[in-house]
Amino acid sequence: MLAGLVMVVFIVAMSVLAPFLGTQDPTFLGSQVDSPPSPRHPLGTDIGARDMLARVVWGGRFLLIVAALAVILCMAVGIPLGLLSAYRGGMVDRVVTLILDSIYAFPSLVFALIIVIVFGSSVFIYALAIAVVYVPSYFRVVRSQTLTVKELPYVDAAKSAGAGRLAIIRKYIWPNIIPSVVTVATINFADAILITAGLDFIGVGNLTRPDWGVDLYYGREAILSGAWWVIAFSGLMILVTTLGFSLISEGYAERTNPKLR
Amino acid sequence: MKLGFVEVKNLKKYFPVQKSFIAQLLSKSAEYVKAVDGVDLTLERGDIYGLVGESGSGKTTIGRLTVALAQPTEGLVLVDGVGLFSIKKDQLRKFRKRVQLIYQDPMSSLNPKMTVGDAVTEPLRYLDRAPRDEMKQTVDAMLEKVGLSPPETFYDRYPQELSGGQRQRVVIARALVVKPDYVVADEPVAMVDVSVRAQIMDMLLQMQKELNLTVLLITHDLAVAKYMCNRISVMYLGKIAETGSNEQIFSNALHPYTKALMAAVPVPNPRARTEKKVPAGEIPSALNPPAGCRFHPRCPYVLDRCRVDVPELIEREPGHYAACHLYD
Amino acid sequence: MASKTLTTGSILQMEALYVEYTSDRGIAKAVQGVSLELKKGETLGIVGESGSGKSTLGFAVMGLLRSPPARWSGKISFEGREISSLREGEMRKIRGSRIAMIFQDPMTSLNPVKKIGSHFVEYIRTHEPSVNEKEAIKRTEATMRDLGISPSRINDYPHQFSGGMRQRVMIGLALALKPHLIIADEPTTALDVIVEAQILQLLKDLKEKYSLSLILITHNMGIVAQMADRVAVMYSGKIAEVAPTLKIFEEPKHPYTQALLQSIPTVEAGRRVLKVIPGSPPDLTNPPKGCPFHPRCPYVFAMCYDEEPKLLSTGEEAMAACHLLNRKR
Repeated sequence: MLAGLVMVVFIVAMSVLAPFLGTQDPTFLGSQVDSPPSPRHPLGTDIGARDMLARVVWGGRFLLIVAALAVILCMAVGIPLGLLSAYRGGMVDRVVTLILDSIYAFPSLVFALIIVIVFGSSVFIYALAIAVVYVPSYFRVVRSQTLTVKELPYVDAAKSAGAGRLAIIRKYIWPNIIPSVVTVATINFADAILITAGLDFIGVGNLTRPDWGVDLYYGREAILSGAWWVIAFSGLMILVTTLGFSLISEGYAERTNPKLR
Repeated sequence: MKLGFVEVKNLKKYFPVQKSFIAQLLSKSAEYVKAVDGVDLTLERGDIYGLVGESGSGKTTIGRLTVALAQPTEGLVLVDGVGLFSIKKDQLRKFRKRVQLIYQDPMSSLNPKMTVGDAVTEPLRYLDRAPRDEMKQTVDAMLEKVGLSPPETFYDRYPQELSGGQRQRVVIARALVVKPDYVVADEPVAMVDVSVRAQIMDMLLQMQKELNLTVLLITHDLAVAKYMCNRISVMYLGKIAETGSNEQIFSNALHPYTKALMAAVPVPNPRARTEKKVPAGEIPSALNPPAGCRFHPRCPYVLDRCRVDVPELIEREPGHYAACHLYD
Repeated sequence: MASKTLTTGSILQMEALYVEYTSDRGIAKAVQGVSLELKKGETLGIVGESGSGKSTLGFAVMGLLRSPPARWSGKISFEGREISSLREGEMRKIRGSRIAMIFQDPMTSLNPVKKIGSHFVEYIRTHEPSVNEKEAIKRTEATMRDLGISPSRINDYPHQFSGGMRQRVMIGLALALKPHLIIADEPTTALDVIVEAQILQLLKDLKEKYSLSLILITHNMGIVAQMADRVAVMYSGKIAEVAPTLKIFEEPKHPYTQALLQSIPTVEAGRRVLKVIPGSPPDLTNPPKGCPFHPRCPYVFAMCYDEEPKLLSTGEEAMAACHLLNRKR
């Protein structure tokens, strides 16, 4: 988990501090097209003669913002839905589960693709597309945990003590399911980055943006002419970010659930 | 007829068996687990009433029904004349102050994210709107009473930090802090260390005296029932087999099942080693209980009638009831 | 320590057994210097509460202690042969065929996707490869009859059996290879009272039929009263007292034994006043100094706080570890 944290903190710091790190302008169209790493461009340049180092440093911002937004939207919808549906039970629960299971069955990348094509590639649309696809994951986890906790004697005891439905959810159920939500959230984050980068890679995104996924798009062709540096460093950054989140997720899960050790 | 403080009349609780979609389409009848199948109980004020039975007897379900933590399929529960299932929801909420439940597993009956102090304050918060400092005083006094002394050292602790016996005391404190009239104690010492059980039992007896509680003590342990209860009902597979005073049950058990239970308990006396004749077989499933008397497949005194007729719980001597054809 | 003559006819000997294991909350001193002997054909009851170390003893004999997280020292001899320093491969030959163990929870010890019959047949054939399938099945059916299970159920799965039946299967498996010693760790704790009586009777019958030696580990004094020839009472990883059953119940010498017997309710006639024992069983990661029972002992005096009492003889085949015994001399 620690390794994961280190990676993520590094990436986030780099992205947040990008304006202050004194790199070249990642969107500046220069003259040395597709040139290999050199003292002036330590990581080379791409097809638009843009400095790769700058693009690597700046490339994470969009992805992180989209992921963060997606996670927030997801949690805002998925968690309450899971809690209430599971607690309520009965027909309501079955209908809601059916709906969300159907969404869950949808291939996320395809769905996101369709939304972005139709509605454009702004931060918000990306986040929304990912959120819609991911809400069922939160829903399922929260729901299953709630169903388990709901049956425990201490929830009964809360009812005996006169606590109302909302108080029970707030004080007795939610605090005990937080660990599982964190696990889903970290994976969600990693996945969101992959989806966004993936869409860029296909060429759907805004290609002028400094964005690791966009670099992969250009890098596809560049590599054919031997310019490996365009794809390599940005690809590495994506790898590190998603790996970092995955490690955090696993590490945290292991910490909070002794059975996994 | 004079009503007891707690009256249970013809209480039934059937749990429908979950069937797969296809099975539901194909079969017409629903299947039920008849956990509680027509139970009558009368508890006088101040009774410590033992409900004794093995697993599948329905005793825990009855406990929960009598504190309105479950809805019956049929039947009534009256506490001090008030029908628990005939009053409105908000009235029931207020009534909860008078009926509480002590759980058997001190680990899972305490919220791991709540401190001892908070846990014991909860019932006061919802059922007894008193100002905050008054509540803290009440909680401290209660913790003191159950032996968690000094209360300050326990107030901010979490259940995981306490021993099993201490946790059980917290559970008891939480149940009794609102000074209820009726308490169901479900196996209160089953999950407590042997050397600590006497402490807990004596503490319960003391609290019962102080608060003039009416207690329904649910247990599988006959010895515990003998020590604590003045009146006892023995249950088998959802029905009552025998009811009587402590004296009557232990000196003069009538029902073959009661006798079997008594004979089966391993007594801590090496001189009492007899070749035990225990009934063969095990408790059948409550899904498809035997016809007639439910105990008949295992009863050493079975008569033909027992396979067909369900025996009624009839008074055989004053206050002593048995549901058995041997006495009809 | 009282003098011990290695009696002939002793089937198991534990000498100076120490077991520690690392847990979340520190190092738990589960067994602290236990020496016990089991005579051939005897039923030894080991009584203790949670944190007494009784189950750990059973695992130690079976060589089931994994290090890490357990560390242990001492000597265990079985049928005259030292088994404590055997390697796993060697130990495996003994486990099951010479010493077998029965656990508390039969549900998790049986493979849910294997038929009951298969459990037996495979077990027999793994340890005795010369036995063919037909022979194994015949033996299995005979065992099932011994256990009170109809042999027609040989092809049923564990979930089709009730708790008591499954425990019978466990006992059957333990006996399948005809061991000489059975260690039963809380064999009836998860069972209802009547089934418990059935199982205990079954153990008694099988023990006689196959001339077994039995170690019965439990927290229930009633069970040892009914089943054991000798009883060892454990507290905080040490033996508090060991004596023939009658003596333990009628003339207990250790304050813990005395207090325990006076604090348990019974169905026997008469109104009892239970004696309350204050405090709780000790935490193995932080046991009390001196005599482990001293914080709860009604007779505690100065020496108890600092010095650990040694086991002293209190009569024929009886010992107790209490400073009071010294005083009386």
